[in-house]
Parts: sequence; C-alpha cells; structure tokens
Amino acid sequence: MTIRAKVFGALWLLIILSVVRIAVVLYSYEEGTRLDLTQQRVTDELNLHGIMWRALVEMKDHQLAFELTGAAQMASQREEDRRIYTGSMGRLNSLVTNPEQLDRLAKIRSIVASWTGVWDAAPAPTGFPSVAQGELLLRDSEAKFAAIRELLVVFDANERSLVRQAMDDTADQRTAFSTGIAAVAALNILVVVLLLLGSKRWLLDPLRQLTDSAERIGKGDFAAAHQTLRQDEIGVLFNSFAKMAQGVQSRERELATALGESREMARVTSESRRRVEAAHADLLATLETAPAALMIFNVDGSVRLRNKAATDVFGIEPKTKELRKNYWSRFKHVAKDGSLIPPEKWIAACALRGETVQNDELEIHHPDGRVFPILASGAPLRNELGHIAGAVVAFQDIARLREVDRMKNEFVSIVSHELRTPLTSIRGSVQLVLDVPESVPDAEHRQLLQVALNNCERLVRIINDILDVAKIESGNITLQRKPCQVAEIVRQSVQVVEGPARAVGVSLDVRLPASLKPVMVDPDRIVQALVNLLSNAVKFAPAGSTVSVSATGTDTMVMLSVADQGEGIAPANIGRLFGKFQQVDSSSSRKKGGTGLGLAITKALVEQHGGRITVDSELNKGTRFSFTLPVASAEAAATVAPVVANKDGSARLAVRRVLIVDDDDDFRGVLRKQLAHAGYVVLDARDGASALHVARTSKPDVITVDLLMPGLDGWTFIEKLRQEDALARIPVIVMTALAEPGEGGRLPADVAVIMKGEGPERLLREVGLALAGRGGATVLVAEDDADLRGVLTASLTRSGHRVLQARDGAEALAAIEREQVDLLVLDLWMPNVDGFEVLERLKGADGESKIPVVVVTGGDQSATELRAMHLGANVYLTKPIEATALTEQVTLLLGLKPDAGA
Amino acid sequence: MSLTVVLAEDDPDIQLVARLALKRAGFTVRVVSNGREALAAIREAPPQVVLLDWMMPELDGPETCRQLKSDPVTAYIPVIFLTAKSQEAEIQRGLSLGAAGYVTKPFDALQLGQQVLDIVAAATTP
Repeated sequence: MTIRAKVFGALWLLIILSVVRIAVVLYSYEEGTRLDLTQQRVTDELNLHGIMWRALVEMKDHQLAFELTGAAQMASQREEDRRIYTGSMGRLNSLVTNPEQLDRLAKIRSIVASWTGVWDAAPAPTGFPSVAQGELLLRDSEAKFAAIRELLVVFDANERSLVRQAMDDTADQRTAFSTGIAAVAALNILVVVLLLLGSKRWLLDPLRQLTDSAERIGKGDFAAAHQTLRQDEIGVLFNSFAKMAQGVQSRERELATALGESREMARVTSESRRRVEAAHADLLATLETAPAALMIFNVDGSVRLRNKAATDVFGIEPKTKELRKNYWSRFKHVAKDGSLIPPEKWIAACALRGETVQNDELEIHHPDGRVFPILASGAPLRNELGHIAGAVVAFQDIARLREVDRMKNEFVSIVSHELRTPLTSIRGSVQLVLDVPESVPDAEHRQLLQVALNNCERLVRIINDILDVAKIESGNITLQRKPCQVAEIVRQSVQVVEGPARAVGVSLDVRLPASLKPVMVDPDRIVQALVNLLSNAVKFAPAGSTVSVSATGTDTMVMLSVADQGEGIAPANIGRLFGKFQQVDSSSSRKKGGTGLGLAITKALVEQHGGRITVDSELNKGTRFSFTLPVASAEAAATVAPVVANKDGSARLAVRRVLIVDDDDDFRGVLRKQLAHAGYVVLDARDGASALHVARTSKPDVITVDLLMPGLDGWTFIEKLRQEDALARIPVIVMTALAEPGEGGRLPADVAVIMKGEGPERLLREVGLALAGRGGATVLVAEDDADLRGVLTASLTRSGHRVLQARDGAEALAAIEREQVDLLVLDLWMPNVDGFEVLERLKGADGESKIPVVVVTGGDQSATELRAMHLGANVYLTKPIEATALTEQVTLLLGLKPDAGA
Repeated sequence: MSLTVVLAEDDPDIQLVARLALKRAGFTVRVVSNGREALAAIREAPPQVVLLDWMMPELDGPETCRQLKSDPVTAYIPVIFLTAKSQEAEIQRGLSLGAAGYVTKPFDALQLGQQVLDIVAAATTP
C-alpha cells in the first residue's frame, strides 16, 4: 500500500475519529445537558418534594389550627399551602417519570385529596373545640397525614434512590462519556502517534537512510544504495535513488577510466615531449655542426633559428626592427651575372612570400669586405592551416667547390689540349700515309696503319667527349635555346645515322604526332643527344630489326623515345648506364667504337635543358630510352614554322629533300655540301633522265637543276616534270651560268633562277622560300602599272602564294572585303583611290594595319615613307623592286621563316 | 696556279703533317715556327690565306692576328686559327679579332685543305 494510501487512510481515520469524537462530544454534551436537566429536574423534584412536604405540613398545621381556632387566616394560609402543594404536586408530577413514583404520587394525591376534600365540605369550625375534641382532631389529622407522610417518605426514599440512581447513572454516563471521549482522544492520539511512527518508519527513516546513503555515496561508498521490495513511493524513491547511485557509480567509473586515460595520455605526452625535446636538442646539435648554414626566419623577417655556419657568414642581427633593417642592408647579394639583388628578391624574402628557391648561386658581400660565394635554397614554412609561418634558408659556401671546379676545368682543359696536340700529328701522319696506298703495298701493313688511325679517331672522340662532359657538368656550356620543332630535330638526327643504319641493315622508323608542341631547346645539343641514342640503338640492334623514334607530348613537355629490338640491358647494369666510361658489354661496345661517355653526355645535356632521361629494357627484347624536353611558351612557339601533318594526324618528318640535277660532279658536290650543311637531305642526279627517275621514286621537296646538260637538258626536264601530276608541284630552282635562261619564255614563271657562283646563301634562301611557300598565303598586289603588277605577281606566285590583283585602291579594298587577304603589296600612287587612303582604311584602332602591308613606290620619298609608315605600313620598298627582296619581306611578314639552315 | 698559305705552327710534327696535307690539297705552303716569323713572311710575300696556331712562342696566334688585321697591307688576308682549345670564350675572342674561322686540332688531314677553302669561301662571299 502506498504511503499516499496510508496517509490518506490515516487522515481519513483521523477525520473519522475526529468526527466521531465530535459526535461523541456533541452527544455527551447533549447527554450532559440532559443529565444536567435531569439533575436539575431531580434537584427540582427534590426541591418540589420538599416544598410539597412543607406545604402539606403547613397545610396540616394550618388546618389544624383552623379547626382549632376556626381562624379564617388559618384557612387562607391553608389554602395558600394548598395552592403551593397543588402547584408543586403538579410540577412534581410532570417531572417524575418513573411509573412507580407516579403511582405513589397519585396515591398521595388521592389521599391528600380525600384529606383535603373533607375540608371543603366541612363546615367552618366554630371555634375552639374542646381539648378532647382538639386531641381528636389532632389525632385524626395526624393519622391522615401519617399515611401521606409515609407515602411521601416512601416516595421521597424512592425518589432519592431514584435520584441517586439517576445521579449514579448520570455519573456513570458522564464517566462513560468521558471514557468514550478519552478513548476517542486516545485513539486519536494513537492514530497520530501511529501516523507519526508510520511516517517515521515510512518516510523519515527511509529519508534518513537515503540521506545517509547519499552522504556515503558522496563519499564514494556506492554499496550504500540498495534496492527495496517496497512498491510504494518510498520504494520507488529508493529504487530510483539506487539506480541513480548506480548511474553515478558507473559514471564515476567512466570518469575514473577517462581520468586514468588522460593521465596516461599526459604521461605519454610528456614522455613524447621529452623525446621530442631530446630529438630537438639532437637536431640543434646536428644543425650547429652541419657544414651547411641554416636559418629559419619568422614572418616578420627576424631570425628564429640559425646555426653556427650561418652565424659565421651573417653574424647575429639586432633585435629591433629598425636596427635589423640597417644591419641587413649592409650585406650585398650579388647574382651570378654580377648584378645586385635587391632585398625584396633575397631568398629569405622570396621564401616568406611563398616561393621556393632551389640552388641559387650567388655571392654574399660581407660589410667587412669578405666575399662568400654560396649555393642557397629557401622554402616557406607553413602551419597546419597552410598559412606561411616562416621560412627556412639553407646555403653552403661553395668557394672551395668553385675553386675545385675551376681547377678541374682547368685541368681538363689543359690535359685535353696537351693530348690533342700529339694526336694531331699521329692522326695526320697516318692519314697522309694511308692516302697514298701505293706507299704501303702490303695489305697487312695497311691494315695496321688503319688500326692506328681508327684508334686515333677514337682518342679524339674520347677527348672531345670528356671535354664535353666536363663543360656540361660544370654548367660551362651556354645553351642557345630557341623554339624548335621536334620533327625537325628528329629529322636532323635521323639523317646522321641513316647511312650507318642502312649499312648494318637496321631500318629507322619515325612516328611523330603532328600535335607536338615546339620545344625550347638548343637544337644542336639535342640533336647531339638524340644522335647518341640513335647510334647506340643502331649499334646494338640486330640486322633486319627496326629502331623506332616516337614522341608524346603534353602542354608542358615533350617526351622523345628511341627504341631498339636489340639484346637489352640487364637490370643490374641499368644503374651504371649513365655513368662515365661505363660500357655494359665492354667487348661488343668497344668494338663498335664507343667512348663510354655518350650516355653521360646525353644525360647531362637533357638535364641541362630541365628534362629527365629514363631507360626501359628487357633482356633479349629490346631497350627504350626516353627523355623529356620543355615545351616552348606560346609566344616563342609562334615564331617557329609549323610541321606538316599527314592525313592520319602523324607528322611527316618534314623531310626536306633537295634533288640536285647537274652533270658537273664537282658542282654537284659543292651544292650537296652546302645543302647538307644546312640540314637538307640531298639527292642528286647527273642528268635529266635519272633525275626524273629519282624524282618519281624519292619525291624530293625541291629540285635544283642545271640547264645545260647532255641528254635531257634542263628546260626539257622541267617540261617533263610539269607533265607528271605527281611531280608538277615540286618547286624548281634553276642554277645556271647562262645570262638569260628564261629567254623566250622557255621557263615557267614560277621557276626561280640563281646564277651559279652566287654563293650558298642565295640558294639556301630560295630553297627555304620554296619550301616555306608551300603553306602559301593570299597576297593582294595593288599596283596600277600592269607590267610591274605582273612581275610582282609572278615573283610571289613562285614563292607559292596565291596572288590577287588590284588596279587601284578601290579594287584593292573591294578584294580585301571579299577575301581573306593575308598580306598587301601596295603601290602608293594609284588613280581613283590611292595607297594612302587604303592605308587609312586599313588602319585599326592601334594605328597598325590589320593586314601586313608592304608599300612599294618609286623615287626618293622619305617624306612619303614617313607618311606611309605613320599610316601603318609595315615595310617600305622603293622601286625598282628586287623581286627576291619583296618575297623575302613577304615571307618574313607572314611569319613564314625561310628554312635556310638548321 | 695554286693558293699560297703561310702556316705558323711551333710543333714540328704538326708542321710536317699540315704541310703535307695542304700540299696534297693543292696549296703552296710556307711554314714558320712562330708569330714573329709569320708576320715577316706574310709581309714579304702576302699569301692567299694564313693558318695560325694558337699557342706559339714569341708571338702567339691571337696577337699575330691582331697585328695582321690592324695593318692595312695585310688586313684583307683571311686568317684561320689552328687550335686545340675548346673553350668557346677563347674561340670567340679569336674570331672577334677578325679571323675568318678556325680549325680544331686534331684536324682531319685529308680534309684540311677543303676546310680551309670553305672557310675562305665563306669569308670572302659578300
């Protein structure tokens, strides 16, 4: 039962008891009142009884007296008494309830009535009876009264006992009531006590217990909370408390665990910190003794950490910012080229801005005069958020290195020089002897001499290579970088090894995508590198196999690969491959005349260009060397002539094949030399017929032809050439000693004519123009003089351009409107609309003509020239125009560079 | 009529080889051992071309060249250096003195004549 129930029950009980008690009290009060009334009545009765008795007595007495005296006064008093008696009797009668008593009263009344009745009937006494009579009267009165008196006494006795009983009853009742009330009160008190006890037991004790438990739990004794079987609120409270205690306990356990863990962590952390500090101390110690100088800067430029080596050079800067600035400004940083490096470009400053500098070579000029040549690097230090939190600068004094390097270079230079001198004599001597075979009739002797010569050559190559390596490695060669087409480099390289490859039966396969971007390299050097790889490949490729050259490119770099199907290189040897004088298989390679430095030089060259070289090889399957080259920037690339693309997207090795047709062997030889030197592949033929044959089979890009030849002469040759569709478009350059070769229209207008003996530049220029003009442009010739117009047109057509003609400015502007004109050749003085106006119209917002303009005009026209230039003309040529000058300007302006050299 | 060349070279072996090589190539060769002798020989009988070794006693190649080029009488004669030097800087210096070209040692004896001709041809072409 719940406490609530108990409490309610108790309360109800209390209420009931109270009600009962109230009832009892009320009842007892009422009873008491009644008892009081009864008592009052009894008292009244007794009183009345007394009164009545007295009245009777008085009446008797007064009657007697009356009888005796006959005094009316006595009668009236007797009547008075009678009245009193009647009254009291009546009242008494009404008061008495006991039937016996009433009976008695009735008897008394009747007796009295009979007694007194006589009086009313009796005559009035006359006077004083005799004594005897009086005694008789008295005895009579007494006798009657005695019965009354007896009855009255009985009545009285009964009355008294009744009263007493009633009184007793009353007292009993009162006692009972009191007892009852007391009982009820006691009960009340009991209930209250019980309630109190109960509350003590049900509430206070448990609460105290709870409090105790709480206190004990507070002290950590969790066993103090225990469950109970009681279902009531206290039980619930206890159970909840117990649960809470459990909860607290478990949480305390968790906390203890966590505390334990965190203590453990703290311990580990402090241990780690100790370790870190130890490591830090080690590091600092290492740094201090490191030969490289190290400085760590804060973001504000102050030095957070420096080691001894750094202090040796820079000392210790002052603390305040102002003094610091002055301090640092006294040091001069001098770049490799001698220029002064401003403070904002100092490595520390760059690193603090987020730039990483690697291996910058510079000199620090100490204010006291000492000069420290250093190799320095710097990098920013970032915090976890990626923000710059400082910078680290490391540098080392390279004075000794430089000295050693210099000594090495000097040594190499001297040695190679000393070696070359005697070699000159040996080589030359043996060469000259062998050149006269008759002087060495014995074949074996000749062989011996040849051996001597071969090894001379080899020595020469080795010395050259050593010098090369030394130069490259010490950075002493200056690369003449320029944007180059990869196809062109490959072509030149392939050309060098074509012959030897053919000789050993190895074929060369070149596949280059047309989309390769131009690279920024020194072409001679990269050709050198590529030739080295190719000749190695050819050397190690078995007869009948193929050496392939391929390339892939991205926006930033091009990778060239040379692959052979030779014996491959064992993995163990790959590491040594690029080392100096490392030959994988010394016997076979030395036989083939290698110097052992080729790959070292190649690697050094590639790396100097910022590229990397790698090798991939599988024994008996083949080897592939790959190296990367940096791509030229867009602006640089724009200056290079584009490659020729095949239909399938690959680049045709823009094979510039020139066919020389001349019956003069010597002249052919000279031309061949000139053209080969310029990088062309030269085919030759000594007469027209064989020339045609060669043209058909080898498809040259340009043909130079002598006019006076036996058999098929030059003119006929050209005719025949033009008759064949496949050959008709090949540009032809006539080289002749004749004065008027084109006389009589025997030569087509687009054939260039060069005088023999003019010198190679002319030829090369023409060849270049002829080739470049292949991708010809649309040129508009605006000239009112018909003859001149014809000449200019012919000249430009010959260069491969598509020529439009205009007779005056109006026509010119119309043509420009209609067609995409790439270049304008403009006469200034024309009718209708003159050249100046055309220039005006063409002038764009920036003052430059949108279309490049070559202005041609006659006479000394410096003012005109100025005006024309002012109007936006690009080039000004004075008549008479030399056709080649014009085409040259045109080619230059169009951005088509004549390919007159490698 | 063959081209005349004055060859200044101090190493007797190289003298022999070069002389022979040039002779076979059709030159008429006059050999001297140093720069001073070269100047004398050239002034005495101006050749078509001068071949100067770089390092010589008394007067070395570059100095001889300079003197030749500053004398209007001899300035027009093409000068070719014979050098084992590989330093580009040095070669440039030589060329800046007015030399027409250079041949590196060890040269190809069979090609020496042609080389000389080529250099001269290139130099004299306007």
